[in-house]
Amino acid sequence: MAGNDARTSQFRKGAVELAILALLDAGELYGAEIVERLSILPGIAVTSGTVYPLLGRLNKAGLVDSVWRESPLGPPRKYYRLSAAGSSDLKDMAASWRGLSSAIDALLKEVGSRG
Amino acid sequence: MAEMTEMREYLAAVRVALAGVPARDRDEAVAELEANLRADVGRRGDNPAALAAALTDLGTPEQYAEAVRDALGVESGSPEPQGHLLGMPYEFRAPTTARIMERMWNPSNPQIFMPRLWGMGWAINFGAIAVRLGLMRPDDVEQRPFENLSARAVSLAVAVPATLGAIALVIAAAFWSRLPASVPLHFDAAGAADDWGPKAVVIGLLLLFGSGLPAVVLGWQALRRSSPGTLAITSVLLALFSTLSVVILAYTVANAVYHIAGWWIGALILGSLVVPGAMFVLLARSSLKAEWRSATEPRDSDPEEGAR
Repeated sequence: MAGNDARTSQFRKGAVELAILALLDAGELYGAEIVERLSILPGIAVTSGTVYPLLGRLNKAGLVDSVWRESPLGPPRKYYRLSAAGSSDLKDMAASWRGLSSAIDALLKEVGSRG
Repeated sequence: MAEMTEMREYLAAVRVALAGVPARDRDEAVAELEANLRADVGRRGDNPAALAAALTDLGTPEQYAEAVRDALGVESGSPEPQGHLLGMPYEFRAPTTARIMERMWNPSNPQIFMPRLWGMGWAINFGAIAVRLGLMRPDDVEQRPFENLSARAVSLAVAVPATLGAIALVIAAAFWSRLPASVPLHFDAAGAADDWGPKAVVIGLLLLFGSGLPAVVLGWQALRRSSPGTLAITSVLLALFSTLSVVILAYTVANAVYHIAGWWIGALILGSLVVPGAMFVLLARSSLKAEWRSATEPRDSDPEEGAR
């Protein structure tokens, strides 16, 4: 259903942002690494085409900082890390995500037992 | 260095597809992409196959640009014109349904003057006016505006420009022989004619906008089997043109044949805006109501619900 896809992509966009911030909480990464780590999670399934624009947005919003680092092979790489604002945003988002997801889980459990 | 050219071409295509995004955001987005793309290609082996694979993952330049717009759109709520010239917005891209709605019927945006759909200057956001008049709430628009309209509502919307276009033709035909060879082309603030042109050109132009344009556009939409929403939105836009044409044509005839003149023509021309405005409000309400009905109907006939 087309409407279903649109809805899924709406809340997935927010979730991928949260996932990026969560990954960067562990340390700095460059774009392709972020894509790789997210793409192996079956529920998220993102490509570079969705991750890079979101990195751009997070960078512009001041939630992540970027820095150039030399790489052992090839050109220098742009690494991303959480900014102070990004760290506190991640805590807020994580808390509201947990609250939301446990509430939705509880509701969905009822749906399953009824059907 | 064929691969470098390929990357440059992709980046250039993304930049083109980002037209309308403010220049600084666009530069940043392209620079961001270039940095990430280079690192990605480097780690995949820095060869043509690596570049091809990295580009495949990104999708087409248009898709990538759409994702950038999507990501940036979260923060910038106001529509951006293609560019500015001497402080005035300009727009020379073909109007899309989405752009028409964003600028002419956007209750969620309180700004009344929006960058114009095509040409230079501003358009009027009737949605903001409706909200200020208390006719609408800012969130009273569906995700896909006007798509829930009934066939009857869409036919009524289409009938407005079609009827006005026909009226313009009838007026022109009825008074053609009584019009002098040169008819008023422009009026001053008092409503008196201050410039004249050959009647075939003046009347022809008015009919072109008032009757020809609706006939061509509606015919084209019928051929393309456009959705109810697209048809309704197009009709509103055409109604603006045909109302203006009928008003100006009637005044031109009245002035040339009966020597009627008055300042009120200015007010009448401004008043023509009421027609598309009212159409927007009525269509938006009708479509919303249809959506609400379809949302509550299944619940009434849900057998499980009834059994309990």
